[in-house]
Amino acid sequence: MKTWLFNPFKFIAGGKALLLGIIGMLITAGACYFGKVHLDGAIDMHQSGQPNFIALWVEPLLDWLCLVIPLYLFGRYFSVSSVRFIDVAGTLALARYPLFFAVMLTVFFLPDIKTPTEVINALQTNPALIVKLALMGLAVLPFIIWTIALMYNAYAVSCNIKGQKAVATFIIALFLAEVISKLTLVHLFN
Amino acid sequence: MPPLARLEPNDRLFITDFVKSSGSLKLMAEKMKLSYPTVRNMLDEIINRLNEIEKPLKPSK
Repeated sequence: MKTWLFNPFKFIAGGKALLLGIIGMLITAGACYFGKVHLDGAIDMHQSGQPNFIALWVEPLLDWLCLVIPLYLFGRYFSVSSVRFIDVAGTLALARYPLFFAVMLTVFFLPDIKTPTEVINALQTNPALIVKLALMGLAVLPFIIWTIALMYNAYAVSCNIKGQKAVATFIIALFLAEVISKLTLVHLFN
Repeated sequence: MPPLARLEPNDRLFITDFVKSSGSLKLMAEKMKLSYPTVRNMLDEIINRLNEIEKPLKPSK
């Protein structure tokens, strides 16, 4: 059970993982529409009022690609094994599935507040809202951590890379993915 | 003793299955119900162990 939750890549990789991952990403993007949230960065999730419909579908794919490319290159360079692109792409696509649960939490429990000004106004009229927002943040956090753990395991299995080298290159790739995806999305949709 | 014979029984079993699968990792993955990279990683670990076993045998230059 633990392996299936944190390292399903022991059993699923390549094209099968890619197909499941892309289906998962598209379902999550659909849920984002109802939760009025954006996955606007490699590991980001923000509420932003009425979502841009096209951005909702482009964001998860771009976030995913921004992480796949540096991890594949690191894998090719640092691993002694022959790394296949389809394994890196597939396992990292599947690694994003916990985000669906995080988005579903926002669909059902996130207060309908669109802008920072609205947050300030709502807090003045209803101070209890800050507790609700904080609890929401805490509830979403485990799913983000779960996603990152899955991403790391996807990298470790698909590139056969372990130890300090794996941790260091993963952190660098995640940072690069976050910066590149953010800049690209801002450039495309703002 | 030949290096292959000095491997653990599980490793020797893996190599036997690998040869019987005509050296196809894809086929091995299907048989073992594991993913392709998992099986490839297992093979790479056995290669590492074989290299370690062979190290003291190789004449130094």
